[in-house]
Parts: sequence; structure tokens; C-alpha cells
Amino acid sequence: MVRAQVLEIIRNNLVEILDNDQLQVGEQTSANEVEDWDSLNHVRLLISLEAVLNIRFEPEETASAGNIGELIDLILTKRQ
Amino acid sequence: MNHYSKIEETVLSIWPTHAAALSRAQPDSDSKKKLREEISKLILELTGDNLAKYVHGYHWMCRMVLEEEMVFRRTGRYRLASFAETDQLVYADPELMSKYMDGLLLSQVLWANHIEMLDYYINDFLGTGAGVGSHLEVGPGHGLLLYLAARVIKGRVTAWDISATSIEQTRAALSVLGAPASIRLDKQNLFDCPDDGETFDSVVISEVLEHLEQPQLALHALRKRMESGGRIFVNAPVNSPAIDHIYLYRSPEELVEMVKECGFEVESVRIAPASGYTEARARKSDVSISCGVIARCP
Repeated sequence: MVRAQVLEIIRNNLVEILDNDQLQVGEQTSANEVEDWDSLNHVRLLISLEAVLNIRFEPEETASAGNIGELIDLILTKRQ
Repeated sequence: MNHYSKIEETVLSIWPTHAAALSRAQPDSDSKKKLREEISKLILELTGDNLAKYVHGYHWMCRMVLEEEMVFRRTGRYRLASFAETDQLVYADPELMSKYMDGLLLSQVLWANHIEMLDYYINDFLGTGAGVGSHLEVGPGHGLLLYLAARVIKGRVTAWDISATSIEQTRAALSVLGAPASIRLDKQNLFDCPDDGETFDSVVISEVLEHLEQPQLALHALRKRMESGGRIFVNAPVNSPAIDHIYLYRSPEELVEMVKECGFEVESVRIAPASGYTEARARKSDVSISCGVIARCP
């Protein structure tokens, strides 16, 4: 799976969770730049990504990643 | 600098990335901002020169809640289901409990739902009807609700807790706040009360029911201890995972129905979603909601 695919999956899940189909995000986007992407919605995002990507996040990974690019790095590491 | 600002500044000096969360937790009216300031003043009296220690406890508690949220979202349940398990893993760990209690105290002004519940308690419970007769709080914890009640209630004021350590913490807090020495703090299990005929005109059980396996038994036990016409303030969270929450209310209506089924007539209900959420969004996404119920004994 390439980075662009993971980015699209993250975006699609964020659209669902944040109820915002106009959402535009890129690898440099961080949670504090996106309305309603709070720590709780970040947990919801991680749980939804677990189901879609067949990975599992650790409790200490509930802290928001610096930006989406770092989250993609984390996901790709888990899928290796 | 006002009292709330001092707490906020200390939180952000230790945990800078919490700024966005605090900005979402602003009260929705000037009167609630004033209340937040009054409660912040009391909290600073309690923390004294140790505010930073309390902030570290708050940081730990917020992290813990997120970890429990992961479990909740994966399984649809709280992690623990029995009081015995919780007692062993949580209540029997003094270091954990100390951090937890510190965090809970600060959350009274840092979380919008807690300010909302304090507003409901002060204005709709203490402000309309309490003030005379005898008063009981079960599980007084940080002591703020008990202290606020003792300021307006002229009759006997009592609190029960099953933990001697908790009782001593409440006693110390009341002493710092200058509460009347006549407040009685008893190590008392609600389910094991002597049948001494003692009854109460007002009862508070706030953030206790979710820690019990069968909270309806607690409400039944309290109902038996209340005078006809007496009022009860119940506050419990819905969809609110935490390391020591074992009873899961999935909607505010589940709590309201339980209060009714235990023989109370519901006077009013207050719903306070987690910081930054509307009630509709919180319900749609199963986000934590504090639910307050004021009810009367027929």
C-alpha cells in the first residue's frame, strides 16, 4: 500500500467521523488545523483505521500524531 | 490574574498541546464563567502551592480516559465490569488514586460538562428547595459539592463513603475551605446501613452510580432513607469510559428511567455533553454526556 492510498483512507474516515464531506487534508495537515478533530475524534479515527487496515494501535498512540504524514508513517510501519 | 486563568496557565505550561481542548471547554454564558471563577478560587485554596502536582494528575487522567475510550470503541463496553476487579486494580492503588483525585478536582473547571453540572446543582437543586432539613451526600470525594451544600443548608449535613481514605481526604478539603465542623463524615456502606430510622430531606449522589455493579440498588437504598417530599440530585455519565467505571449508561434516558423505577418523581433533567460537543453530535457518536436528574420522593 502506498502513502497516497493511506492518505485517502484517512481522509475518508475523517469525513465520516467529522461529518464534513468538504474536508481537504494533506500530509502536512495536523489535527489542530481541522475543526472538531479533537483527541476523542482522533481515537475514533484510530479505531476506524484499525478495522479498515487490519492493524492495531497501542494505548500510548492515542496521542495525536504531529500531522497526517506522521500518522501515515506509523500505519505503514504497522503494515510491514 | 483571575483564579481560572491561573489554573489554565499552569495547565498549559505543563501541557501546551491542551490549549485547543481548553478553548472548546468555555462555558456558554457569563453566569457560568462567573461560577467557574468561584469554583476555581475554591480549587486553588485546596491545591495551595501544589497546583503543578494536580495538573500532572489531570494530564494523567485525560490520557487514561483516552486509553479507556479505545477499549470502549473496540468492544462497546467498559474495560472492567465488577467492583471487586476495580477495587483491586484501582481503589487499592494509593498512587493511582492520588493522581486520579487530583485530576478530577481540576476537571471541575476545565471540562464544560462538569461546570454545567455544578451550575445545575447550585441553581436548580441547592437554590430551589434545599436549605432546610437534613442533607446527605454519598461519595463526597473532593468535597466541593458538600461544601457548597453546607453553605446554604441550615440543618444537619452528613456524608457517607465506603473508604476511610476518601473520608479523610474530604475532611481535609472541608477544613481548608473553612466548612462548618458540624458536618458529619461517616465511613458507611450504603448497602449496609443500620436501621436507625435516620432519614434525609435532600440527598446527593454525584458520579457514584457508574462505579457500582447495580446502581439501582443504591437508589432504592437512598429512597428508603428519604422523607416524603425530599429531593435527590443524581449525576452520572453516559458513554463515559474510565478505569473505574463499571456500569454503562448508554443514554441519558436510561438513567432517568432508573431513577423513576426506583420510586422517584423526576423534577428536571440536565444534559451536558463533553466539551465542544452539542447534544445531537454527542448522541450520534456515543460521546460522553453528563446527565443530571433532580427528583422527589412522592
